[in-house]
Amino acid sequence: MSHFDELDYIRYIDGELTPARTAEVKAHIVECSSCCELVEALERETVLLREALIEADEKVPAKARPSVREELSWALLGVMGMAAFGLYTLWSRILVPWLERVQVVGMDFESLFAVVLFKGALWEGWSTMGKNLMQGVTLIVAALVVISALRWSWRRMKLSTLLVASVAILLLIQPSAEAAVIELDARHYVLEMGQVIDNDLIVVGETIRIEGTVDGDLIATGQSVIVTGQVTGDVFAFCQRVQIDGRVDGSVRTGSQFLDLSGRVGRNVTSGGETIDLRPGAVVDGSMTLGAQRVNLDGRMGRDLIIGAELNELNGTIGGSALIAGRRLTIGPGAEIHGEAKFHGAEEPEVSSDAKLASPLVVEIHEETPDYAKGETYMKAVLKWAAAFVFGLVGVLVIPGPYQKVVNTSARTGLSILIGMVASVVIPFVAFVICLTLVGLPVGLTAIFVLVPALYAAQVFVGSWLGKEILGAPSTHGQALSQLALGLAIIHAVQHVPYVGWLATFVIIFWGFGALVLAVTQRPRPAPASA
Amino acid sequence: MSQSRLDRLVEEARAGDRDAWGEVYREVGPMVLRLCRRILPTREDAEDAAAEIFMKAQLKLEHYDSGRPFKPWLYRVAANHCWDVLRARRGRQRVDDGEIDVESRAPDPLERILVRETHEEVRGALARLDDRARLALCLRYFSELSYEEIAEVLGVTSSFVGVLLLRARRRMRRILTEQ
Repeated sequence: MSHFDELDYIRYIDGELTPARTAEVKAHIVECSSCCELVEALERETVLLREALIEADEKVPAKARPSVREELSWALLGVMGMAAFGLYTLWSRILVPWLERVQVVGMDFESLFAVVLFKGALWEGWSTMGKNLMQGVTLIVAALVVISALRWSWRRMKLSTLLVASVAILLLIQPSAEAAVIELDARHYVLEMGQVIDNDLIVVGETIRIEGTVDGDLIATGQSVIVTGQVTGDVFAFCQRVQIDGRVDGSVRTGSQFLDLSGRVGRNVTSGGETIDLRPGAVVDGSMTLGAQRVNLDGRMGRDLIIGAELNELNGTIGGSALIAGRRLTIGPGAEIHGEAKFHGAEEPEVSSDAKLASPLVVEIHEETPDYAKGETYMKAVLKWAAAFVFGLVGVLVIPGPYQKVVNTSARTGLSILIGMVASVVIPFVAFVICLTLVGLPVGLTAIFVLVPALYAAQVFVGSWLGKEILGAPSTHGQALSQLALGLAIIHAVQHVPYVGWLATFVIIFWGFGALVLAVTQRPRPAPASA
Repeated sequence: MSQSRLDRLVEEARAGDRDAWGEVYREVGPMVLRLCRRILPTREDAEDAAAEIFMKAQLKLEHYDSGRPFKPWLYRVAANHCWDVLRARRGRQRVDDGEIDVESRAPDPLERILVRETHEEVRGALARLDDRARLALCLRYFSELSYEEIAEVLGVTSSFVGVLLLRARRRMRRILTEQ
C-alpha cells in the first residue's frame, strides 16, 4: 500500500487539495490506520495552532484605539481654512516682496544656481576630477548618498522616488565644464602683478593675494583673500577675511568674518559675516545685500541696499532705496540716499541733520517682547503656526510612511534630544569643512540647504507626536492632520511663555531634529523572543 | 457584529462615511493588531504597523471588491505591510531554506507536543521561527487565508506555501521538543 506524505495531509486538512485528490486521501485514510492517526494528530496540531494564535490574551492598547471622534472633522475644516489663509498671507506679504528685493540686487535663479550648485568653473569634468584623490573621494561620497537615497525611495515607489530621482539627475548632469585653473596646494598663493590667468581661478590656501588679473571668476577659500589686482568676472570667497582693494568687474559674493571693500565692484555685493566695511572711496555700481553683526558704509553704491545687521552706520551714498533691519541705525552727515529709506529695528535711529535723504526715513520699531494687547501679535502667531502646519501637511500626505516613522521615533525623547544637540553642531561644522575643500563645496552647501528645512521640520515631528499621544494613533489622514494641528498649537503656545519659551524652542528643535537623524540612521532592531 | 452589518459599514466607508470607517476600525482593529503581534517582533512594532495598516486600508478602500469578504482582504493588506516591514529588516532573520523530507512521518514528537504544550509555549516557539515561516503560519491559521492568497503575499507559488507550512510546523515541533 502506498501512503500519502505529510504535506498532502496538511493540504488535505487545509482544504487545498483538488476534489479528486481529496477523495483519494479520504479513501486511503479509511483503509490505513497509521495514516489515519497521523491525520488526526495533524488536525489536533492545527487546532492547537489556531487556538494559540487566536487566543485573546491582550487588550488593544489605548494608543491603537480610534479615540478621535468625527466631530473633529469640523475642527479640521477650520484648521485647513486657517492654514490656507496663512499660506496666502505668507506668500503675498512675505515671499513675494522678498523675491522682488532679491531680484533687485541682482540675484536671479541663474546666479543662484551658479553659486549654490555647479557653475562650469567649479568642475573640471567628472573624468578629470576622478584622478585627484580628494575630488575622487567627494565624487564617491556624493554618489553613495545619491544611490542610497534612490534605493531607499525606489522600494516605496512613491512621489519621493520621483523627487529623489529628479534631484539625482540634476546633480549628475554635468554642465559644460570649462576647465579652470585650480590651485589647491599653495599655502600662500600670490598672483603677481602683471600675471594674467585667462580663465576662472579656484584657489584653496591660507592666504591668497591677487595682484594680477583673473580674466574670469575667482573662487577662493582660506584664511584671507586680498584682491589688489583685477577680476573680470565674479568673486566667490569663503574665508575669515576678504579684502577688495582692486577691481572686480562682476559681483562679489562672500561668506566671511570680515569684508573690507575699498576698491570697485562692477555689479552687486552679497555678503554674510561679522563685520562689513565699505570704505570711503569704495564704489559698488550695483546693489548690496548684507547680513552681519556690524555694517559700516562710507563708500558709494549705485543701486539698492538691503541690510540685516545688529549695528548699522551709513555715511556713504546710496543710489537707490535702502531697507535696513537690525537693532540700531546711525545715518551720518555724509550720507545720501536717493531712493526711499526704511528702517525696521529695536531702537530709534540717529539721523544727522546734514544727511541728504530723498524722502523721510520710514521707521518701524520692533518690540523685542511681543505686545499681547495687540491683535497683530496673535495674527503673527497664527501665521507661524499655519506655516508649520502646511509644512507638516506635505509630509503627512506626500510621504506618510517616512513621516510617521520619524514621528514614532520622537517617542525616544531623551535619546532624540541628545542626538539632536550633537547633530545640530556636528553637521554644520562638517558641512563647512567640506565647503573649505572647495571641490566639496556643492556637497557642503547642499548639506546646509538640507539642514535648514530639517531644523524647521523638527517642530512638526514633535507636534505630530504630541498630538498622537493626546488623541491616539491615527487611522486616517484626517486624524493625523488633526493631531498635527493640536500638537503644533501646544508647541507654539509654550514658546510664548516668558522665560521658558526660548528654552522650549531649543528643546523642540533638538528633539525633532534628533528624531529625524535617528529615524534616517536607524538600524534594524534585534528581535526579542516575544510571546 | 454580524457579517452583514460589517459589510454595510464597509460600503458606507467606501462612500466616504468616516463614522462608518471608525466603526469598522473598532470592530476589526483588535484582530489586525493581534495578527501584527504574532508576526512582528515587538509590541511597539505591532501597534505602529496596525495604525499604518488602517491608513493604507482606507486609501485602498476604493479598490476593494465588495463582492468578496472584507476581513480576508484586510488581512492581506495587513500581511503585505507586515511582510514589507520584515523584509526591510534584511539580514536580521535567516530564511529557513533547508531541505525537508516530506516522506518522513513522525507522529511521536507530534503526539508529545499535543499532550504537553500550552498556548503560551506555542506562541513562544512561533516567535522563534524565521519571518517567512511565522508569517505563513499566522496567515493560514489566524487569518484563514487560502494558500493562493498567502502565496500572493509572500511572492511564492501556492504549492510552495504547503511546503512552508510543513517546514514551519516541523520546526516548531523541534523547538518545543528541545524545551
